[in-house]
Amino acid sequence: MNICYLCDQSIVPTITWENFFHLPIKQTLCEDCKDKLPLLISPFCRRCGRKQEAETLCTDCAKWESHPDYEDVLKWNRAVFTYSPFMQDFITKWKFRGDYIVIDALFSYLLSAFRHAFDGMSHATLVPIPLTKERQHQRAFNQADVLAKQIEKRTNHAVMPVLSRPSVTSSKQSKKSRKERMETANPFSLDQPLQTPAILVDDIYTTGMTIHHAAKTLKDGGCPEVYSFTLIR
Amino acid sequence: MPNYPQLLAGKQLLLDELPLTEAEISTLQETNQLQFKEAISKKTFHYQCKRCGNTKQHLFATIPCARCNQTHHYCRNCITTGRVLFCETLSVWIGQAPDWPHQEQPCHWEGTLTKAQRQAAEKLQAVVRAANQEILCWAVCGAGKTEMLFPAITTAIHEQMRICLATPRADVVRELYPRLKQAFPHTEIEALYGGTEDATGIGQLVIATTHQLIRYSEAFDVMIIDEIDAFPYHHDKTLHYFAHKAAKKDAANIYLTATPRPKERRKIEMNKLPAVFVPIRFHGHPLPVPKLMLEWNLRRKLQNAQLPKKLKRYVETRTIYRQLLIFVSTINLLEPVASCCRVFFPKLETVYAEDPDRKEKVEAFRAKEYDLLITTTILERGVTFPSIDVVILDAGHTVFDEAALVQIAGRAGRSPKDPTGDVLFIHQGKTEAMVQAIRQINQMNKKGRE
Repeated sequence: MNICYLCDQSIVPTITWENFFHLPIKQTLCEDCKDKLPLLISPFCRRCGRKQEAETLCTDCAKWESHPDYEDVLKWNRAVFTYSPFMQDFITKWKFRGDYIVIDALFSYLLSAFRHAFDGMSHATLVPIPLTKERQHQRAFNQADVLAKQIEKRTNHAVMPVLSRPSVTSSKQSKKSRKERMETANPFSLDQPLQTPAILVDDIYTTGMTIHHAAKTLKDGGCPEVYSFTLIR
Repeated sequence: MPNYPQLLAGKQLLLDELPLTEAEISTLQETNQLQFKEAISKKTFHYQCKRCGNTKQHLFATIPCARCNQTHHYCRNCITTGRVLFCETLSVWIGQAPDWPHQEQPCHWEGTLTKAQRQAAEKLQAVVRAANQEILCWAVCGAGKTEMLFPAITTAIHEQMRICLATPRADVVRELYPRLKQAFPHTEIEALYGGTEDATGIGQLVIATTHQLIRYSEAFDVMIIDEIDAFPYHHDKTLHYFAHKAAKKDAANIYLTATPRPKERRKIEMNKLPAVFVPIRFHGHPLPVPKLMLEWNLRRKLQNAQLPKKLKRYVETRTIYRQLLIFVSTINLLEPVASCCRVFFPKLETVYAEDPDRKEKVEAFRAKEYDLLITTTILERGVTFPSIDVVILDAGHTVFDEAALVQIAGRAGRSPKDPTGDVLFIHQGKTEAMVQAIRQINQMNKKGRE
């Protein structure tokens, strides 16, 4: 029996010519949930990839661009989905509740969005945003790692976990306000400098603080260009 | 030092859930009071989650675990109450049994039971005393089931037993908790449901949704299961497993219901399940008998937001003032029905399960702030409005099975001040469920007169 990973309802397969001739492909997402996925399509902010009316710079990015520490640490970010209540439920289920397998349902979307955004950049290295040891133990997996490894498996990009996150600053970003996030110290340290362009991978870009901290760490270590790719923006 | 037996006995907890420090855990382990057992068992290719009992292999998934650096299974069936990984363990208390305080007179409830209630209560009390017995209490809607339990609970507390009152829904737990606290002020009571604030971990009397029993194993001497015929308990085998696992092997089991399913009724008829009937409501009046009304093309009319003629005539001829509760079969009928009812009821609300304002709307209706509430089946049981008439639109729909229809009819006439009320089944073709529901109500009324 096939069960939708996102809503736990059983999937009733419709017969098409494709699966009439083929062996059935295991379905992991029902049609209702497919319709609810908020795919991020243009126009969006040319820098952070946020959904908006025109392909201009959004107000948040304007702030980043004029900030003395962060003005050109990040080239741009691209994301697969916008942040909707449906995606919020998904994140709760996957990350906070720890249902590791549910991300399988979204891998095809992840890959097509990645290929579309980073076409012809196969020399760039994938760098997942790390977790602290404690958090990783509690969760038993690193969500950014899972995304990066899946992209590595299906493209020519290599994963290099060159960043680490020492345990001192360990409170969850999602429990903080924007202001609090902006004021936190950079939690990342560089294990090994990177000479190739890098694509940071994470699950969510919210205020962009985490991504910018990580990008700055890489940049300061000599990385020529830093991009980022997140599941949700 | 906390009272470890009270805190830990009868519980099955993951390491993260244990309310202990690492030092405490190792001391308890060394002194042979606390043990850990595997959380997921494996027999060749067959896995079982030891917490929720899941054996369905498609409800296990694999995870490359960052804790033990191995790829192994975890259980997806009970993941909403915390993830169980293959490399994890569950705690088992093997120390002293908890020692509940002795109370000569634990019950401080000052009301009195009616004759019918008293007879049933005595039988339940006898079951608690005897232990290792079960009984089904078949009491009509509005019979006063909670009060009927008080003597049995009193006996159990007096005998220093641990009691669990499990119900299918959190609303009911929230409603019961203050009532029981008032009746048993010196007993440690806790209320468990998702997001509860009244969990102490040391309750002698535990009021819980059935889902919460997942963390208990052989804990309770008395297990009372409310509304055994209700969703989700009736449908979900896992919940039966939880309830069974949480009770001690020789526990007294009490089942409560107003509308037993055919399976239970068969068992009663075959004398395999002892039962006690309470065919009369606490105020002594019979149950309102539903009236059937045929309306042509009802479903089409509802979809097109046309007011059904029968409903229109009924609303126009109503003489006594009562609030009106209308049940519809599906969420997407709420809006069309609301729009055509606005003519008569300018102030109305609709409510459904995922409605964010559900609690507020229901409370406002109870406070008589508006006259008409249109609802899906979520209000079919467990809620009491003092003085209402009830209408089901499209009573022939499959969501209205016999039990649901009897329960809905039981919403009317709950108050001793206004012990009657109209119950209308508007349909476009009589179904077996409607006929059986009316028969069941008539039967109970007949029994109540005897």
